[in-house]
Amino acid sequence: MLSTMSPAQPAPGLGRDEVLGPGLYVHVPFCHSECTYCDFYRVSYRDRAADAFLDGLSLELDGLPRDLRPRTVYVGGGTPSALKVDQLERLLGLLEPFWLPGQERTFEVNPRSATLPKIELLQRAGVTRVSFGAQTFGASALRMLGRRHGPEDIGRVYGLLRERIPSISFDLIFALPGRSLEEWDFDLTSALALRPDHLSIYSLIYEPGTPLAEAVGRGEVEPVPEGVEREMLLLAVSRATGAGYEHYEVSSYSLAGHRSRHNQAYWEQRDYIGVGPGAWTTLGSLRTMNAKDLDGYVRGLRERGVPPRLEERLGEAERLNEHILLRLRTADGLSLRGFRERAGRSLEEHSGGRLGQLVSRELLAADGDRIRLTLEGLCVADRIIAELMA
Amino acid sequence: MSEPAVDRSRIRNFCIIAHIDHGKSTLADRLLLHTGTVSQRDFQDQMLDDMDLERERGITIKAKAVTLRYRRPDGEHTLNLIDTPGHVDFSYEVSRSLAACEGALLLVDASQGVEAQTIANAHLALEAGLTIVPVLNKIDMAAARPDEVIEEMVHALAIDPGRVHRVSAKTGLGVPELLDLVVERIPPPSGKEEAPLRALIFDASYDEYRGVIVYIRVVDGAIRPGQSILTMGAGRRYEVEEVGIFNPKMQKLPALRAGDVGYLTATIRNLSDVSIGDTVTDRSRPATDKLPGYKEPLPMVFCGLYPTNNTDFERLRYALDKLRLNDSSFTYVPESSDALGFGFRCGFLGLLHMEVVQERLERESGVDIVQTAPNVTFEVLVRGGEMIRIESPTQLPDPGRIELVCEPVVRTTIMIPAQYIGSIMTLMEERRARYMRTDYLSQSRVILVYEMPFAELITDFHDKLKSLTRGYGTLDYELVGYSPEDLVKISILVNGSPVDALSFICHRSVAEARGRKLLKKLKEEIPRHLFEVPLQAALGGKIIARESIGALRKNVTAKCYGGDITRKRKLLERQKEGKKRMKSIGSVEIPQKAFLAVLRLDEEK
Ligand SMILES: Nc1nc2c(ncn2[C@@H]2O[C@H](COP(=O)(O)OP(=O)(O)OP(=O)(O)O)[C@@H](O)[C@H]2O)c(=O)[nH]1
Ligand code: SF4
Ligand SMILES: [Mg+2]
Repeated sequence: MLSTMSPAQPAPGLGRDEVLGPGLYVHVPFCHSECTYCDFYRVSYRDRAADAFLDGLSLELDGLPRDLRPRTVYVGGGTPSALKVDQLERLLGLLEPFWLPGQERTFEVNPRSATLPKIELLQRAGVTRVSFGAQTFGASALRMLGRRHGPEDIGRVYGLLRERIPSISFDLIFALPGRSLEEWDFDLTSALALRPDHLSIYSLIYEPGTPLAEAVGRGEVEPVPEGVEREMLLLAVSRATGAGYEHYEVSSYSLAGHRSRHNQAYWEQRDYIGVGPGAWTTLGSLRTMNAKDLDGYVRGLRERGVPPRLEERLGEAERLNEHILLRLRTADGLSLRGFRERAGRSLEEHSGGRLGQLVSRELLAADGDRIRLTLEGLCVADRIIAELMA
Repeated sequence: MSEPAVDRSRIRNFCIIAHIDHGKSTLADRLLLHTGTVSQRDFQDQMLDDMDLERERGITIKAKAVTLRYRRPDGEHTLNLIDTPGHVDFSYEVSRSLAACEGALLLVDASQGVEAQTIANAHLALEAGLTIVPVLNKIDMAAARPDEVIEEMVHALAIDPGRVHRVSAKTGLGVPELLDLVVERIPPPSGKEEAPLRALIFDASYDEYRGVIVYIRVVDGAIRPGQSILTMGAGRRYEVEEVGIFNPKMQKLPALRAGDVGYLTATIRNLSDVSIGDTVTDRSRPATDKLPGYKEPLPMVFCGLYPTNNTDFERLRYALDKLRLNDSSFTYVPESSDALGFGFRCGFLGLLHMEVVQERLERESGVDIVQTAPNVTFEVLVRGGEMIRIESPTQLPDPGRIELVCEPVVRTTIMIPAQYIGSIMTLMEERRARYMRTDYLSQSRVILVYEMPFAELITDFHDKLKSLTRGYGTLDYELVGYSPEDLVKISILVNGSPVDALSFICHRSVAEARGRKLLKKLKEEIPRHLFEVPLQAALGGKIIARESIGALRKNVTAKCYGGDITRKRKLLERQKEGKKRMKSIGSVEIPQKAFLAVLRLDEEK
């Protein structure tokens, strides 16, 4: 249960966050797969396009402040491991100027494209952490999702990673159509047997416009009933916490010292800089997104030194809503005092008395200054957050 | 004064009347264009339908006056035209227009033929003593059947077939000749210009800058800026600021004289000071007799209107006051509901009227409104012999005090192609209707006359009639009286507490079935909450049906990283906004649609 978890533990060997700058996110928009549920910005891998992307990225990185000292670096996508070995090498070279000692450096890898040479490259570059997109051990479920790996790839590649990368995070998806509670239990058991340092456990979301959502619309795919989905979520929580993992955010579980520092910065509303097409940056109240347009990205950087961007100004109301949203999703919870200082009024007032109702319904737990989701509240966190927003 | 006066014998005041969609506004367009009142450049289709709601729905809601200058060899004529709505709910607009005219163009669609409001409106015009010019419209259409339709006109309205003029309002065919017929057949106004001023107030609107704009038909005398006037009914005094005509925009004139139709302004700020049907006269030389005015229409359908946000009560009252000026056919009195707080019980002429008023209120005032399900009026005989009228289910006295409950009965005239008689008769049986008679309008079209409870008519009868007759069925109704029935009140409890705004009155024989259906509908309409919401229907303290809206079980999205935050926040903010538009009762949020669920109990799932 979220509310029973211990407070944040400092990552070993790192006490200097204050002097370090925003997190750096790098979006690599290529995949070999076309996952049916995916709504990330990505295009099919093409050799030439990947080279052009790296050209653009190099220009965009050049444009970052010289003294940028990113406290974490996270390379995601897409599928960074879809790049060929030499391209991956070039990418690591581009990032090297931002390497700092003790930094968390994460790469997303996928069981199909992560070959030994690529993994060794990551190892040599001092990558501290990989996020491993296993998703499920069900062969037919993997096919339905449009993933190109099979269950057998998971253990094999995991083994390669385990020996070379200090911290491994393992992605799992539940509530897959046609997959029962027992099969989900099997996925959890199999994943826990590998004892990854971190687990990211997601429920399948039918994002509008994705092939999977459209199949549901046509009646070809039947989503898992809500009640079963809830059971699956509760099972994940109890299995993972039972195995000694800390449940520190709605979908994140870690062994001691293995929280994702990069992701935590999002939830703490710290600044972050994103590079690559489709990447987001937030610096104070300014939030920008590089356009989801690879060609435009490369052209913009070549011609004007900047990619096309969309911009959003966050007002105080938006920042407060995000504060509620992000804080409540974490085990550390929301500090009532901190809220009052920011908002100039209490959360009880801000929510028009709903906070009290949610606490009395035991959907939220108040522990001194902290408000956290209860296990019951975790299941309906979105609604709770909406209730508290002004 | 010295302004040149139009020769009174060169004025014609007329309106266009017809069943809905027979082409009145389109004909008005042609007349505006042909007389050069509007240039091609400024023109748009159904030009006089200038309210947003009229354009969106493609129907006329308000009668609209406009002055045309028509030149003929014998000189220029001033034609004051009023385009009227055709829907039965707006027939009060027609009656008011008739009182400002000497003649009426009775339009009949050459493919649809004579329909319910053709007859109803023709009778209104005849009763008002108007000269009728029968016009057959849409003769350009492939489906036109002019001879048959003229035969229907002869049969239903005793019209001389030789006097029916044929036009196409779309192509303009026959329109120039029609203008001459207006001049030749309709008599000029008969008022006396030398007599003391008498002008009939037939409509009004409100303008933030000029105050109330009063629409008048000058019957006797003349009216000018600077003149001191008196409203004979309300007894208010004003100084005229401006007079003019509609062209179709307002156009200032030095004076309006006997026979003219136009407007006056007098810095009238108090909305309730102006009453439609009142007579304007000269203060220094008042007329002795008021003009007859109008019979106030009797509202037939009632519902509660409440501001979604309780603090908007006064704004809603102001919006009602303002709208009432422009639509004197609805009524409103404050009421309060345990569930909804303070609001108004409003009376309307029909369901479309109700919808239109509600939409106009929301648009013209920006107040979000919760509307309760409509109901009819009931007459209740209470112990001790007193008869009371109730306009809301909550007003029904304790069962112990009730001797009798009577509901309104209407005579319903249904016009349909003969092949649908069977299905309509079945429908009528289901609606507790009593058959009166059948008339043949022509070989293929019949008129069925029934008496039925009005309550049955307002619960989606019109839609049923339309769908059973492929759109060809039309209906008209009038109140014939109240009849005692075994009527009971069903109360609805949401999360254990009664929600008065959901209660309804119905016949005992259907009480249980209706209660059950309503709960099913409510279950569909009320979103799930973080807790289970039980729903119950009760008849006099006894629960007759129950349902339950299960609690939300899982509602949490997995990912929330850098690129997800904006989207996720906006999603939740929208959810939150949606909730603000719902009415919060106890801790349950009830959307507007739920309050109207009782109307749609007959819909199949
Ligand atoms: N073909 C054809 N269509 C016509 C003619 N006159 C009107 N229409 C069409 O009939 C429809 C209804 O026309 P309106 O002028 O809005 O009818 P209305 O009588 O003013 O309707 P309400 O004011 O709502 O009662 C429109 O789509 C017109 O284009 C005509 O002479 N020929
Ligand atoms: S690998 Fe990831 S980014 Fe690529 S298609 Fe699949 S889900 Fe989308
Ligand atoms: Mg019209």
